Amino acid sequence: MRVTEDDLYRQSTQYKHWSFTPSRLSELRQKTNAHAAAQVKLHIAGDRAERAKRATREASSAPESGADTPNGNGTGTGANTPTPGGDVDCLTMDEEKMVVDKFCETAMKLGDFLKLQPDVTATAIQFMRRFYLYNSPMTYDGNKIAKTAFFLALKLELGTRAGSASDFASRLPKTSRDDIVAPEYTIVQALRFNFEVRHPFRGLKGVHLELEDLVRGTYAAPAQHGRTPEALQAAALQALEVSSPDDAVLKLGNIYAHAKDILAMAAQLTDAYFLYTPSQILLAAHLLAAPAITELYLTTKVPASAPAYPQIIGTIKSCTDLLSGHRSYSKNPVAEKLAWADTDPPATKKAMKKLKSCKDPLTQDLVALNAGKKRDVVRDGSLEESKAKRRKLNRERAEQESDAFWGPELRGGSAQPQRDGSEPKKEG
Amino acid sequence: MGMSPAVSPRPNPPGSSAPVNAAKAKSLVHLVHNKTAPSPSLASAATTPGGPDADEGLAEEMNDKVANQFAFGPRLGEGTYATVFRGHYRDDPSKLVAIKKMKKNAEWQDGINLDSLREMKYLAELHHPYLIELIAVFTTKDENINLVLEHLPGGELQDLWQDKTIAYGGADVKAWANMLCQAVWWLHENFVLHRDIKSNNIIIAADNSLKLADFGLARTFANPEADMTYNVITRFYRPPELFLGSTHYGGCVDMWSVGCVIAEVAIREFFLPSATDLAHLGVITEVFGVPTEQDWPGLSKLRFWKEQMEGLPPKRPQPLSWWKQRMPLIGDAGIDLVRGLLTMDPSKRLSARQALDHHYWTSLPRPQRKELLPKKGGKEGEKAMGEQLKRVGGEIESGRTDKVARKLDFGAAR
Repeated sequence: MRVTEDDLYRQSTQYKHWSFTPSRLSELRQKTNAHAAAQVKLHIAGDRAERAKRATREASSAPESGADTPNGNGTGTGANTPTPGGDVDCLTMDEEKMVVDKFCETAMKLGDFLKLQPDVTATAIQFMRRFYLYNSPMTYDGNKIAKTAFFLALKLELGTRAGSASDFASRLPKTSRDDIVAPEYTIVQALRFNFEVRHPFRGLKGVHLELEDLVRGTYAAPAQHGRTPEALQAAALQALEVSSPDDAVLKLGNIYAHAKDILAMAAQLTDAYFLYTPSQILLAAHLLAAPAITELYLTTKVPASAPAYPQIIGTIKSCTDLLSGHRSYSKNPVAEKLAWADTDPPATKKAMKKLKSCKDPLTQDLVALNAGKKRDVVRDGSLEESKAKRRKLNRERAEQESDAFWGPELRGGSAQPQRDGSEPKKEG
Repeated sequence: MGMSPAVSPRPNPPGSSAPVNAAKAKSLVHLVHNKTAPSPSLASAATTPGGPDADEGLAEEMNDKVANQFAFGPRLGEGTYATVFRGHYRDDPSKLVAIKKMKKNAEWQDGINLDSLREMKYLAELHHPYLIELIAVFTTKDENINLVLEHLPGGELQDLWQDKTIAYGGADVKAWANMLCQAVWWLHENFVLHRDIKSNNIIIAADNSLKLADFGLARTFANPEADMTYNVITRFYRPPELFLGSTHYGGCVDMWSVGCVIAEVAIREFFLPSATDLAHLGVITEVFGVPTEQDWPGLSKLRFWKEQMEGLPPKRPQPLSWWKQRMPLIGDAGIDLVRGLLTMDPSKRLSARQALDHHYWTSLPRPQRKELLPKKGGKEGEKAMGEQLKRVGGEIESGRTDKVARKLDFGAAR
């Protein structure tokens, strides 16, 4: 039995869960945006009503209690609140995408600052892009999500060498261990518990090694379509516009470095991973770096006369357009590094500013939110739902133990735990 | 709502004291009150983090959709890190699953534990008839991660060879060995190392297929520059190069374990048992001799070679007659395969691909047909699955030191 790379890729979660057509992708973003906007409006309205209520209460109680309540405080909060009923201007789907792209750029700078391996940074950024397909930046703050996405990527890529969450937090400004750990469940859930990201980097290296063989005349892959290694070598030297194999190897080194930079930046900061396979992405990057030799390389795999060839090259070229359309793309990316990201385009600036007034008030403090889920907190006099469930579980367990000790009680189904959400249930 | 323990006429279960129950009952009443009282205003409902509206995004919706496909059944096993339940598809109760509910460890300071992450990561990508299938993953509201796995009622392979009431022959061993080799071949084809292959990580399915399980120590080996830890694989199944401190390895480490498993199924006892890590190399050399630089080029460059092996007196490996006497069940071809797998020099050891090309499979007897393979009884086997799945990386069961699994060594690279 022969397994092809394609067979392996089609088994991957990246193919099954994280590959989209352009229309399906924007449909999903539209849905996420609409859902989040509704939540934001609801929660901000609730927040305002609550503040207004508190303000009136404080205003009415202030004269009675006299000096011990600083009067300015209460009314101040009320005054700062936008008038109830004023419509919340939420981000549109396009604005959300700009904001997420900005988050990812910032994350890339963070990875650079922390001197993380390119693989870790790339994985973290793809985690973020996947996360924001099902969550809105209005709901979850990008900087908070980025820190946890990085820690998760570190754990997955480096195993125990990732270090502890506290260590990681200490490398970041104003960050505690809780900030790192608290959003983790929210993130892994949105990632659908898929943790493998198939990057194009290793494939690019493979292409590079094959091309080196090609220019040295030692290329011996099966599908050469009638051409001898010598003929291929001559064609390769011509495509690279050099006369000696040594010059060609040197030039290939530069091309590889250029293509790798495109993969490390433009490929991470666009929808490339959602729309194309790793091999399409890496060939697109290589095509951008050196069109002639890449097309020659392609014909060693698929002859230009093959019916599939136009489609293959068409797909790669459309990916090329996507990558070269990103503002990080330039003919000389090494000199540019991340400088391009220092100034935002006006539309992004506008969206980032708009975001400030349409954040979901309930989900900004992720540590408290997580603590609320984790521990038993009583807020507004009502018990956490999770606590109720845990209680029910404990009770169930106690009953089971008791059953084991005393034998089951003679009764109907009264102690049968009720179906609630997705909790363990005795079979009826 | 279930009946509160406090109003139950039954005595309190052992180990729990009355005040605790009373307190529980009290808060339960509190809860009931709050649930029945209608929420006074939109505002108070909306400002309760964790309340019904707090974080019901699309991801939660998607998660609930998955969670609602499955129903929990009775508990099959409980360990420090996970509880295993029998479950079934809600729309078809005859389709059974095993649900492994990962416990949240308050002591764990670094979020979701690495072994769970690895298990989810690799099982989600790998699909093969002889690898345990991860059907779905979902969280419950209390942030427990639930892994929905194949229901495998046949118990562990180890229980099978240890249970002397079960008789089996060469054809059966061949069928099991072949399924194991196929599973490992698929892993390696996907550039994944298992790093804890042993007969109690191999579970038997209802159709008698073997399923390799427990991917808590798995990792990819696609990057040849990356350092890996030598401190993996349960001792009895760990290859010599890891005892000698090798940090660069490939599929060959798993293949040694495969050889150990086939050998132990053939002789119905542990093939290379030892009391300590330090003693284990001695056990290996007792059978395979003391290797020299000629047998194993590069040997003397391994990290612990000097202290572990340099001064040892020369020793020759056991002759073929010794093997024939120990493993009559698998015949000459089987012995040749096992010795190929248990080759000291990892570069000469059979790869999974080479193992599948071995003449053992094509020589007589033919591998037993799956439906005729011997197996353990129903209830017992299912319980064994619970016991197997509940274990998670780093967990060592007391009283089972003879097969001490992995070590809790968070300092070392993995």
